[in-house]
Amino acid sequence: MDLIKSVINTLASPTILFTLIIVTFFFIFPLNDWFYRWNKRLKLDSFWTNRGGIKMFIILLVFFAFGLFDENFRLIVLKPDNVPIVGLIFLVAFFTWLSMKQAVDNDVHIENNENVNEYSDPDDKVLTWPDLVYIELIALVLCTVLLIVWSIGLQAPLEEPANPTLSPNPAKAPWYFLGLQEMLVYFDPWIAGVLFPSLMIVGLMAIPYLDTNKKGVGYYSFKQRMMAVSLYMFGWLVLWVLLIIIGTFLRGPNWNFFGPFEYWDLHKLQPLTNINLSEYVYIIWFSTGMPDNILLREIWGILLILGYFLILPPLFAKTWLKNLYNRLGNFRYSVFIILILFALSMPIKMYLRWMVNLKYIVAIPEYFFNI
Amino acid sequence: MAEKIESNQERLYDISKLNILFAVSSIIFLIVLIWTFSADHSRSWKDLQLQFRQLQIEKTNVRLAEEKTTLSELGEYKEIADRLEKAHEEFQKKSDEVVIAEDTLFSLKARLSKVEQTYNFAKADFDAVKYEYEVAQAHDLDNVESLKKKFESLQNQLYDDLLIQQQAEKEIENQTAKVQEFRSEIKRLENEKNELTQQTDILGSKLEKIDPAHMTFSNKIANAIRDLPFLDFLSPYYKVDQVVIKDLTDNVNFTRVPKVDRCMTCHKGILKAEFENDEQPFKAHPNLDLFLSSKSPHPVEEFGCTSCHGGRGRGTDFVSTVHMPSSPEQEKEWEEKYHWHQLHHWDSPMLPMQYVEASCFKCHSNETSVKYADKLNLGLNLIERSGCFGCHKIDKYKDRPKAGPSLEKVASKMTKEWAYNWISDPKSFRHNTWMPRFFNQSNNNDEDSQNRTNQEIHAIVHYLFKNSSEYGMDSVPIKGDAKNGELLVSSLGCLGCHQIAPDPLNQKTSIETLRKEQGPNLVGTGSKTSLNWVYSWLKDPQKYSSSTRMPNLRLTNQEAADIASYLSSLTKKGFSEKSIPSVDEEVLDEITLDFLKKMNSDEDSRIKRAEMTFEEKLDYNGEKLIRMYGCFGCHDIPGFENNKPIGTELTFEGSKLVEKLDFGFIEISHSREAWFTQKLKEPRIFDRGKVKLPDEKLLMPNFDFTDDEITAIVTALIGFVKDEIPESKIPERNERNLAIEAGEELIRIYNCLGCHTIDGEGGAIRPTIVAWLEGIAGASSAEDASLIQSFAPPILDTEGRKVQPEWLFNFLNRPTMIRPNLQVRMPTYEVISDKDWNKIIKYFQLKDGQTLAYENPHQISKSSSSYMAGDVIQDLGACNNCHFYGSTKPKQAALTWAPNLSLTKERLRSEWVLDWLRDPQAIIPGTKMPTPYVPIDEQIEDVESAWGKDVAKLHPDSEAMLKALRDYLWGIEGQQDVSAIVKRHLETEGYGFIVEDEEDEW
Repeated sequence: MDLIKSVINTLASPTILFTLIIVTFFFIFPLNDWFYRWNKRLKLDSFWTNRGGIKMFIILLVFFAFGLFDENFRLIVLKPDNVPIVGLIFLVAFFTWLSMKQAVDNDVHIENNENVNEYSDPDDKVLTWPDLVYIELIALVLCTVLLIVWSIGLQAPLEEPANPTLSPNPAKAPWYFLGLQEMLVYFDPWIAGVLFPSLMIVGLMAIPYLDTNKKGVGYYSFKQRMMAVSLYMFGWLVLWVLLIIIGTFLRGPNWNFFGPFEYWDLHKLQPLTNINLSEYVYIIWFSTGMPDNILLREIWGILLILGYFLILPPLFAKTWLKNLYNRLGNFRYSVFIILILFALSMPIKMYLRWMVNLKYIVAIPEYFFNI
Repeated sequence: MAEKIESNQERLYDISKLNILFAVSSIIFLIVLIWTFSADHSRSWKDLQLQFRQLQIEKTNVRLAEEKTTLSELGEYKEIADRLEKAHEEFQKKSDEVVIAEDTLFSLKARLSKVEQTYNFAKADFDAVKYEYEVAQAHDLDNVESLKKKFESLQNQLYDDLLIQQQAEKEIENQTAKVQEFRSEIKRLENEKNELTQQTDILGSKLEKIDPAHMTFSNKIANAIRDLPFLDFLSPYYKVDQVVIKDLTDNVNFTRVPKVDRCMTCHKGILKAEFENDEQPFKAHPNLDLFLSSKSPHPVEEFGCTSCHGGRGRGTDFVSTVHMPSSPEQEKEWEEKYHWHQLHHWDSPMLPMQYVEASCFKCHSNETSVKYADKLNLGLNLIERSGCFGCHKIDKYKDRPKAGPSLEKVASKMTKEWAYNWISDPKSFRHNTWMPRFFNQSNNNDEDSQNRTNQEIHAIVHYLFKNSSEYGMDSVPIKGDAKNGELLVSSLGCLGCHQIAPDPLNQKTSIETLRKEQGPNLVGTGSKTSLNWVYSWLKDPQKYSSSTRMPNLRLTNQEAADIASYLSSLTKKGFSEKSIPSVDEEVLDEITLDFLKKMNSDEDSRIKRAEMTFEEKLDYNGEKLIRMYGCFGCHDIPGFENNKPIGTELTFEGSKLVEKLDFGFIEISHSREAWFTQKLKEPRIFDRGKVKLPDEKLLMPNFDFTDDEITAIVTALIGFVKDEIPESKIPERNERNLAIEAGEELIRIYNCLGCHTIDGEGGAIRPTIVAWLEGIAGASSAEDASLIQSFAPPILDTEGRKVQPEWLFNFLNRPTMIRPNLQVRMPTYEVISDKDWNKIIKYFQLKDGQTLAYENPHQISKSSSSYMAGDVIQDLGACNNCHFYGSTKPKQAALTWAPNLSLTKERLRSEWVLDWLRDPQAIIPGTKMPTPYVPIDEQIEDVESAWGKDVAKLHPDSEAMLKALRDYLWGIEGQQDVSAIVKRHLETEGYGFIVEDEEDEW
């Protein structure tokens, strides 16, 4: 028992968890044909069958049921604040499964040149009343029932009057902001709190304009929109939902990482010494002092960032994204690739922090400009 | 169309299934809605109020039954009831007459209404015509004349109507009187009966309100529906009871909100004394005279509940009010009964009952002893006595003298070896010393630490002895008699502050026992210091230490030598012989390096250390260690005159957030009380399991407090809160209160109550007096309370009214003999400044309501008749049996001697003397002074013949006679200091104790 717990605790440590997920993710949600072949070969598409769904559900259920025997796990999972996140885990899993199941199902139909499941005769219509409104009404009543039962059963988690001399530890944002809060660990507020959220919204708005693929409209399909679905799923599941789950269950006092079965000890210490890229360059690699000139000091980081955003896109356009570039054209491609690079900067920075204790790539605290 | 709708062909879903689904979900919704209301409506406090109501009904019924029985057994009541019955019978007999009279009254009333109507109409007409007539007259109209006539006729008419009306009224009045006459007897008897049944009636009407069985039908219906959901907004029976105190606020960090206490929502019986024996939550407050009731000094409307008890006043259930258990057993019980758990979201949880007195301190922090709060007082005294404030700044103890003795001249007092052993383990020398143990504690008792601390002690001792200044000790000039010394120690008053207790007394610590520990327990004095030192110390304590509170007892050389040789004979075996680890330079080097590294780099530290000689290392470490351990917090040590205390400030420790207390790895409940208790019990415990360098370890020494002492100290600590108290709640800061506070503080500091008694407090020395009396006069004398009192230090009640302030000031500075036979000696306190003496005198004065600093002295004329009468009265009263008249000795044996009356004029206040003569027992119960006899019951002729005409003139006014006596006292002159006479007398004749059981002269 304790062995299982300690294995899970170890697996939940950020580097391992994140690496595992990133490595396996594109095999489950293939990005291109190569991954797709592996997906088939490893039979990973069996997730999206009824049996796979039930298995997933049972695994989740067993995990939580098992976890509830552990005092630390119980304390965190059953906290009224966190109950919605447990619900979120099940719901996200369910809806992902549901959509993927339908998509995979349709893929088979398409392959066999059959009509997709959602296919309907353009003349075949149903009435708004009662077919739509009645159902909505019933759903409304049942949702209200659920909310009332929930609010009576789990009292609102009110806390003490805010005290400026005693902030709660850990101080957590509302659950839907925990992904952003997690980003704050790796980026300055102006990036994690302003730039990234704005880009997310802009990116979501840009999707219809970037996605020129006419296939898969009005019905679920995976194969026809493999890259679109997988990239989106990566952003949604890994860069958003996973960060919320980590923020809720794995971040404890002092924002330290704790395994799901670990006691949230206020006094746990984790080494948190980080250094900037410029310090790496000058002090460790060149073994000299730091230049006084800010620009000179940070030139390496600046070059790196510029290279990331200016050199990588044309490079990719010429190499393994050639097809995409040809399909999207210059402007769409540029917007698309910049958005993707921004999204990727998040895991990249996380890894740099974990592996080499990198604090900032560009550090100009004199002007509050750190990247 | 209709066909289409009926057939389901056009439907995606089956409509009848949807209907069923809708019906089911609607029903679920309805159930949930009802659940919402019932969840909202059911509150735990309502159940409790229901129970309380039941209890109240039962109680009232019992009391009503009792009242009724008492009433039925009351003869008076029976008699009235009988008479009432008879009166009713009488009335019945006359019923025909009554009916006729009542009918007449009825028709008379009807007639009156009619007459009144007629009058009102006439009046209206009259007013209208009057107006018209006035207008016509003013404007000279033509119809003036006709209007005038009309006006006049109406006026007459109105007058006639008025007469008729008055006539009718008169008739009604008469008839009413007649009717009432029939019932008057019944009414009178009923009134009488009501007076007797008042109590039962009150109980009965109370029951009508609360007990459905006693309710009227309509009230029963109201009772049934008034508490139903929705309807309960109108006038529910079960409702939240609360007090809102506008000027007391709860701090919610960013703002303050008025205190709202809803405790009485469940604690319904809290204000009702009749519930004193009931179970919680209905039990009445145990001290309604002091708290809550409107007549008490802390009425609930002004103070609420949580201002003292803590907790969340707005809460209305057991957990949300943050009740706190007093013991682990209670905690367990609550967990089972109420699903109790501590609500962590409230910074001031309720105080567990054993600490509740802590709250008194909030408002009464300026008082030296808070009345009725014995535990708090003990805690405050323990903090002072243990010298907590030496290391922990506490505003309450600002400028208090240091708790331990001065070490400025320590080398003259003891040997280095003794000092080493003492510092290493003080309790092994003196079991009840207040010097705490720093070494061999849980965080420094491993071998490495011990090796290190042994060297630390060497360094400390070295520093102290090296920096000790010269003390010009006298050598004992005469050989002392230890036996007499022992007698002197027990009779002079030493034992008001000191004890000589070789073994633990196993008594509960109280303020009383602390008074006897003002100075050290004198056991082992001979092993600690030299005969010469004790002698010199006794002769002049200030010479050794200018700040010592040890007073000068004005001992003669012989007395001092006797006491010194007695004290030197008290030795502690085995202590000085304890082996002392030798100085180990290697370990010392380590310590030196650690200290040096704090200010220097490693390399520099090593260089510096290499440059130090062995002696310098000892010096250096000694200084650093004294600074580190904070020895200067309790002792005067040269070189540490201006150092700041080393510990955490405790002024507001009671408001410290629990989160700021380091519980380390110790698993105790996370509350302030638990932490403080643990810390006091085992000060170093929070180091357990931690890896620490020697200089990072916790330093608080171990005082070996008992559990009771810890509870008391924790009570005080919890009381040190930061709450802002509005001025209206604290005891008035008037001149009297300020003077009393200042005086009480000094009285506490100098331990006056070790000997004296004020307001029934103090007199710690009395048992010693008893022992001394027993020694010289036998057991029977030692049982005589008034005899003990006559040899005990004076009771200082009414002192402010009693003595003249100038005299008191002089006396306090240079005490002189008052009661000649007293062995106990008022010492000279050279350390008390004039300013402080003034505070003390002012304390006595204002306490007794004396506000004047200067008063006209009492004037007498020796040729006045009053003075002459006084002379006669004193002579016949035989005052000179006990009192000195100047140098004239009293007639009786020294046993009964009383103050020299020649002191009276300068010492006493005339007004007080009169009170005293009137009834000495009223002022000092148990005094030997009798009430002087004045002849007022005798015939004036007899008085004149026996007492002379001056007294007869005053007959039968006892007051005037006492005044005469007082005048005489004011005229007594002569030698004031009779100490030499007394001494000679006692040497030759002794006290004259009658050791046999013979009748006393008194």
